[in-house]
Amino acid sequence: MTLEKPANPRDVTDSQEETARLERTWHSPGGLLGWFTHVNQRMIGKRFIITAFIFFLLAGILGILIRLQLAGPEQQLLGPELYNQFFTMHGTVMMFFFAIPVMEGFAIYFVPLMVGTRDMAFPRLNAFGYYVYLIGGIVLFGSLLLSMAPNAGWFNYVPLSSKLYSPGYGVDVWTTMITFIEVSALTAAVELIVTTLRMRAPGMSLNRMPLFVWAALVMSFMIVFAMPAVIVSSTLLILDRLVETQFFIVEGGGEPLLWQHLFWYFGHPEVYIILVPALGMISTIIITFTRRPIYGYTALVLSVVAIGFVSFGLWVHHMFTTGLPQLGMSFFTAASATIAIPSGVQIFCWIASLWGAKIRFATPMLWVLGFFAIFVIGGLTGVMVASIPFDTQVHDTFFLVAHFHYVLIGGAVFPLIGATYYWWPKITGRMMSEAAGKWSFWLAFIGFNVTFFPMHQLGLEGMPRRIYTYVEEMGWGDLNLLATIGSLVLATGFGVTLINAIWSVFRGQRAEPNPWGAPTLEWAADSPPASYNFRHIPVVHSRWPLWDWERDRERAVVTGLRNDRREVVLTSILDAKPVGVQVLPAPTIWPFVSAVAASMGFIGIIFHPIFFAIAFFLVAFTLVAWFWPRRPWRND
Amino acid sequence: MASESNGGVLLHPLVLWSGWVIGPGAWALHLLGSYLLVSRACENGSMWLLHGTTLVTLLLSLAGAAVAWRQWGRAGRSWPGSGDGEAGRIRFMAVMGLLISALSALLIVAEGIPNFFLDPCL
Repeated sequence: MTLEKPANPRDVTDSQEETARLERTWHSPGGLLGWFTHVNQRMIGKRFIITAFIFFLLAGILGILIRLQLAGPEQQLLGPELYNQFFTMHGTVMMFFFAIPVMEGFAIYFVPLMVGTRDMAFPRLNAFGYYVYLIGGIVLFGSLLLSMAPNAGWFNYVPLSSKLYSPGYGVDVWTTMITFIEVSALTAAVELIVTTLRMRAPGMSLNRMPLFVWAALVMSFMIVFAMPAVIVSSTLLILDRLVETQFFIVEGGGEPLLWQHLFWYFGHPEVYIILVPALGMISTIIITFTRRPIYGYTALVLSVVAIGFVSFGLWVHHMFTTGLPQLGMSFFTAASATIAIPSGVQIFCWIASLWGAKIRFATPMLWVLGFFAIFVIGGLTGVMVASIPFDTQVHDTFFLVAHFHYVLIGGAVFPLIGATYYWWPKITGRMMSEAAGKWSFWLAFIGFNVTFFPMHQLGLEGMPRRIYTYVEEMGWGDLNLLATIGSLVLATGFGVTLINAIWSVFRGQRAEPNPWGAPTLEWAADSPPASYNFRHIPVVHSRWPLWDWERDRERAVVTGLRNDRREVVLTSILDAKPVGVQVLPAPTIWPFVSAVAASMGFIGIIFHPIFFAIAFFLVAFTLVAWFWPRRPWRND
Repeated sequence: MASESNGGVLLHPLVLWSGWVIGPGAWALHLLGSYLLVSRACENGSMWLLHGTTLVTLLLSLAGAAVAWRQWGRAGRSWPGSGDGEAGRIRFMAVMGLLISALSALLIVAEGIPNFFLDPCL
């Protein structure tokens, strides 16, 4: 294992026998029962991505139904109760069950590949996180079918969500499932941090890390700092509802604003938790499709880190109309306006990278350019609502709905679809159709703007959010009809990508290992990667290892790892010098059983506190089985 | 990895994070401190607590920037690239620390300005 070029470089030859043995070592068992035992990072990452896109589809259908209800005045397609459930579910599922998990999924799949290792630091924890997420999502959607769905909005404000105003199980389901998804996000974050800091390929010092890996690292730290706040707040709320504590109840000395503080202390960084990985995807795509090093690597890393920490000082701007002291709020106005600086630095670095470059306008690049147009508009309205007088005027109107859809769909979903086109050949080994991709982009781009741009005007005309209908005299009918037509076009655009994806798996052109000519390590693996990711762990000497290899026609690798057990190289945090070898655990059913046991406790507690005790012992039992030690004398 | 050397310059890896941590730490203190002290300022009818918070945390963030600036100097004051082995990486960490602390100082100044214009009792 060496970092520098050895004095006498020797060729590495791989016997087929050894490769087959490595393949067996990292193999994931087949069959239905085998499916529940998988722990390899690519399996789990792929499941996160697919599951999240299914939730995107379901929540998107809810969004279309909401738009159909609002298409004309005084429609009765959805009643007020169902409408409340739908917009609550649309927001909750899009934010918690689509946006965060899909970003985690891409990070889980690609971070180990980009840093040149064979799996993540804690593979079984990874599997546990996925099952917790899956069970949480199924229960949440099941509650909709049972008419038990939450209906107090995605931020679930008290006192509306207290027992007095929201009897029934809806809000209980919300608080419980939110805790679920937070647990899942925390496991992914811990994994990603340790994998990024300790398992990078030798030579990949921090200043050579791919920008997507930086973004995933910042996202993970943000999850670690933000998620506990919402776990605390939803626990306090469920205590208020179940055992009659008084945290949020004014008569008992509680404080409803405490909920808003805790929720938005999480909720604002949450927006950036979704945005930051998308920024990494954009940089990655720009590098590949301009085929030259990015302008301002250090500045881009700085912006991502700065956005990460400044985003924790903005939360009160969601509370400008709650009657807090003006001076206190003004601090948050200042921070809200200042976050435009790192965001601007990013945009200018990208423009400089694109300037004068020979850009290949392939589908991933189109989605990124679409991001520029949409995100800049969303950013501008963001600076507008950072100002308290303007915010007071448009608070709780469709202007806000327009603003955050511009930021979230433009800022996260467009780059995400671009990244899906970009990495699809690596995940499936097949190319998606370029022609269909371009159709999909233009339909989505036009549909998006037709849907959400009129909402700015509707908001300025005073149309409030969260109303299930409006009277004809208000004059909001035409623009609402336009928005609904736009939403159908937007859905068609995304639908084309869905069909393209499914079609390509069976009929798509087979992909080379590096079809786009990209410089980062994930493209050094096969398409799709073998079970062990890399036949040999690579050694890197710059930010663009694949371009180096292409130029030098040789590559350095780590040798000496055993092929008969799951070994990976551990490296130092700053310089990525090799410091040791870690043996990773094999597939097992226990993370799944453990997730089921934990879910029993979480769900059961809605109905009776005894489930907490039962689940506690069940989980303890499964953890013992999970952590049963490897037998060192058998050397496996 | 007790220390990482560069031509006689010994910098413990943890020391290289100082600019990354001190600046944002100072800014977080300023934001929370100021927010909590608004009601106190209203009761006392004087703004010196708020101005003091701004001044102290501003000095702290500038200290973070200064530490990072010195580290950068010791590793050779050129813009960090991806080569140069350890020296390049020390430069990268130092420049990042410097800019992060500088941005924190800017945030503290921006948040300190309203103290001169707004009444804490409104």
